[in-house]
Amino acid sequence: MSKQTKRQRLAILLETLEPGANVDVPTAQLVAMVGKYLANPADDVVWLTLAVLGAELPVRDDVVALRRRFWLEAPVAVLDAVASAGIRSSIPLRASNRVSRVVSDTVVVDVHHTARTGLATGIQRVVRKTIAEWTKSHEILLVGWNSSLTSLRELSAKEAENALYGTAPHAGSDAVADEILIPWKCDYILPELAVEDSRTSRIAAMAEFSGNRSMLIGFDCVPLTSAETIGAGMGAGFARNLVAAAHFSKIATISEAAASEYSGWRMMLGSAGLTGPQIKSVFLPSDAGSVTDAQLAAARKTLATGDLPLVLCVGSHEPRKNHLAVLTAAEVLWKQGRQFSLAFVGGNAWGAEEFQHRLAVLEEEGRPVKTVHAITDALLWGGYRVARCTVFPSINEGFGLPVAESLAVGTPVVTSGYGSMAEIAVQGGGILVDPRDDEALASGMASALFDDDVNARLRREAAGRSVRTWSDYADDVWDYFFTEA
Amino acid sequence: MSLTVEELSESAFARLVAVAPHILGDPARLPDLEARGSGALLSALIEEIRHSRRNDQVWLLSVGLTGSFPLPDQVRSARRALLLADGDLAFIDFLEATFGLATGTESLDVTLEVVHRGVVIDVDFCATHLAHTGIQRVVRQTMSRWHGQRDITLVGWSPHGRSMRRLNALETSRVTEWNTYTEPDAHEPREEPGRAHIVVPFESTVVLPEVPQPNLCNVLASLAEFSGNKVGLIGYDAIPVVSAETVPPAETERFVNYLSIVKHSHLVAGISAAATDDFLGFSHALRAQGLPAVPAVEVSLPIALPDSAREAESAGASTPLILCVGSQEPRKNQDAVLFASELLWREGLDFRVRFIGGGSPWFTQGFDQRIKALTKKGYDVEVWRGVRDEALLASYAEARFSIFPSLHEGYGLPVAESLAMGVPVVTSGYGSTAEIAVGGGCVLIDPRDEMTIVDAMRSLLVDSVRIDQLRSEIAARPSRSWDDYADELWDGLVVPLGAPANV
Repeated sequence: MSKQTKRQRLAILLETLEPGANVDVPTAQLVAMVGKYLANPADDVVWLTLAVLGAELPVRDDVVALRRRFWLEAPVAVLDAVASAGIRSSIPLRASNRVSRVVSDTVVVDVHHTARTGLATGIQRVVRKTIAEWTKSHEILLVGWNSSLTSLRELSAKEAENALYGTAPHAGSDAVADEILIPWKCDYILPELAVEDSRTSRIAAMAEFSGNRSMLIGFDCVPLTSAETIGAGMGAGFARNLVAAAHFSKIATISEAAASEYSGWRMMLGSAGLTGPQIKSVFLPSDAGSVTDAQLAAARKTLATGDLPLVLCVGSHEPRKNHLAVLTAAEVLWKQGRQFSLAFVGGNAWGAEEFQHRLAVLEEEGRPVKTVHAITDALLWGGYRVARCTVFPSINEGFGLPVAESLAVGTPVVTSGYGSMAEIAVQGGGILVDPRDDEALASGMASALFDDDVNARLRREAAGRSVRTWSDYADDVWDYFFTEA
Repeated sequence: MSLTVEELSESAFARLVAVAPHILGDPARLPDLEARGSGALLSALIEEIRHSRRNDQVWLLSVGLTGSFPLPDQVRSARRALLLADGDLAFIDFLEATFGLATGTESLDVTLEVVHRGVVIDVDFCATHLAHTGIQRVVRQTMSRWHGQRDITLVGWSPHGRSMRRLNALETSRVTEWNTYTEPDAHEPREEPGRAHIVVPFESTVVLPEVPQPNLCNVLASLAEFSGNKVGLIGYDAIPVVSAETVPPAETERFVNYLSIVKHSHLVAGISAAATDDFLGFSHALRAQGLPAVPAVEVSLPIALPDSAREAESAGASTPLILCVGSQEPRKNQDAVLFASELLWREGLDFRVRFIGGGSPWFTQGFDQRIKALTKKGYDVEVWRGVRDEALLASYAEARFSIFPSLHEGYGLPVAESLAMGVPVVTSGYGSTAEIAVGGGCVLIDPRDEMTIVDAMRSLLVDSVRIDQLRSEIAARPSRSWDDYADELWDGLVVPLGAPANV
């Protein structure tokens, strides 16, 4: 780091601590002026000092170590040493001469992953729809992280476009790649799932020490509560996300079920002397995508077998989605001589071997079952609309999106009688079953498929559901974060 | 799939005979079925289950057939096979569904005993390892008191972790006679293992006083969910989740897999109120997946001396010693003690600091450097590792007070130990350490605010009246021994799950 950089960083620190200060003075004097603020400094000032002088967001250990140094040594000496060499003499500051930008009184929204991904699964859809609504009526700053996940930066125009609309998944971090953005007296919102260590450890320290208010959209705690249904590695990453969340001020969960998971986790914090954030459920809306007649016909052709009534099952084949139960229930009904076709729309996933095996057996036996991996909007919404009913017997969901989507287009759904799925179905249109009981699932499917009265009643109920829009949702989350006590 | 009923081995037939009384609605049919051979017996058992639809019987028959405890997916597959089976062919489908299970066993040639309506306790780790820290101390102290006094079956696991087995004599000694048995020379010839013999709890109480090894989590989750046995466990803490930043990621992975057992278990006995709350919190989260809450009760660990120790006599008038016992790691916050000590030395106070405990190199390397730097400055600070109990007890005898400013503890054994030795403690003012402190003899601090540690240490260094007052508080504490804990754990955890209350 050059003397010039050291000087610039000290000047930024002083201007932040003392807006309007004259920074056009010799470096030694700059150190002395900043030093005034660092005699037994509060945690937020320690954090800021480290962030600005170190040109990255600090982790907890570094904040605590610097805080202790300020007790043991003269502030000016510590400051001079840190500005030159960093907090730990053993780990020199990056040679970079980058200078940070401190932003204040801003709503900073961290969409690092959403800005870079080509995926459009549940979480990305929630993030995109929500921030798109927010940008219409509020000033927000969309941010991501640098490549080593050590500091925040403003998104490039292309990245922002992808964050909002998912239309530029390969946007580089062109224009502002070198920026280091430091929020100060800001509101920080994390609307996506962050599980990378370097990122979550810095978010945790920021939430604990920086004085910025931090808020989170909470999707579920499945990696903690249903580890047996997910692949290895997720549990540790998610637990460290929770370590950060423990220092947040508010979590807006996407359902009451997710709120009960987060509340259970918050009960566990007492043993570590922490109280944790406020938690409130802000229920997600659901889209009702429209399709043309031609797309409808194409969907029927792709998904159904002949003229048989169609049962549609949307979602990846991971164990938690319980697709083996769907196959078993269907086989029970086929063995009873019932005539219908079954289609799965969703990607392959970890732990799907037995599903694939059973599927192959049924296909070999000539059962009318199909699977489609490549999902298009036309196929998805066409499928929801041509289906006689859908089925979604998941073991655990933060929000069963396919339940909401099926009901939004008026198609009955057979789903799990608890958690978020039961919450969605409470307004009608669903048959609730125990997803751990294949026979119950089979009889639920039989009612929805073959009992005309039941099917008609469910369709009437689904059609009568109140419509909740993304605008409603985004407003509710915003109000919870910013206006509710 | 080429296995046929005729090929079922003799040992499989014997196993089916052993499980049959628990599956047949009318056990009087057994002699006749036995006489007609394995095919008739298996068909009859499968017919029973097709009608009963009982998960516990599906689980038990899987064990009987294969000599191996089924994983959750295998129970579901077997159940589905029975649901979809066409009449007489049901047994073929059931065999097919359990076939993967059979190929996973170390040997199909195993004998089996069903422990019916008993108390089966999994002490696998303590039986096969010589480690003796937190959890192992609790297990060995408790089992040494239950063994011979109560009707229990101590078990470990087969080498592949797919079936329970009885302990051999040496393993039993490791669990129940830790202080008196002698570990044989490693070169002595081992007991020749005979034909494998497995223990199958049925309609029993299964107690998990250890945190099971990772390879056992799935099979135990299956046992808890499907076998019908009542599973009770000792809940130690949720540190790997709540304080995940303080443990290696693998430790968190291991713990969330352990929670897959907990969620299907029937009762947790927390080692402190804080630990109990951790498990109640997890239980609360289960409603999202439609599972009933898992009740948790507090059975706190005792304030007990290490075995054969006696209360310390306060040492003479040498430079006061501050003792900090416990493994050295970030969660235990020893760096805050170093910081506070340095500040107080600079203020001119005269005292010594001794850390006793081991640690992983990734932490201790840096810690030792910081100790060295302080020593260089002339401060009296040292680290003792791998010392015997006598040295620990002598240190307590010498100490003016001990300090344990941990960020998160399920119990805080060093706090209890210090109090048992009559030595005042500075410790964290929340969670389990604050609970222990309620009985007196402690000064509470905020471990995240090192200046509260500085203030507490200063106060205890300069204020002898305060020290005397704390020592008399300790003397007045009600005593609670390992005997008390062992009895309370039986009454609080085992009896509610169906075991007899009387000794």
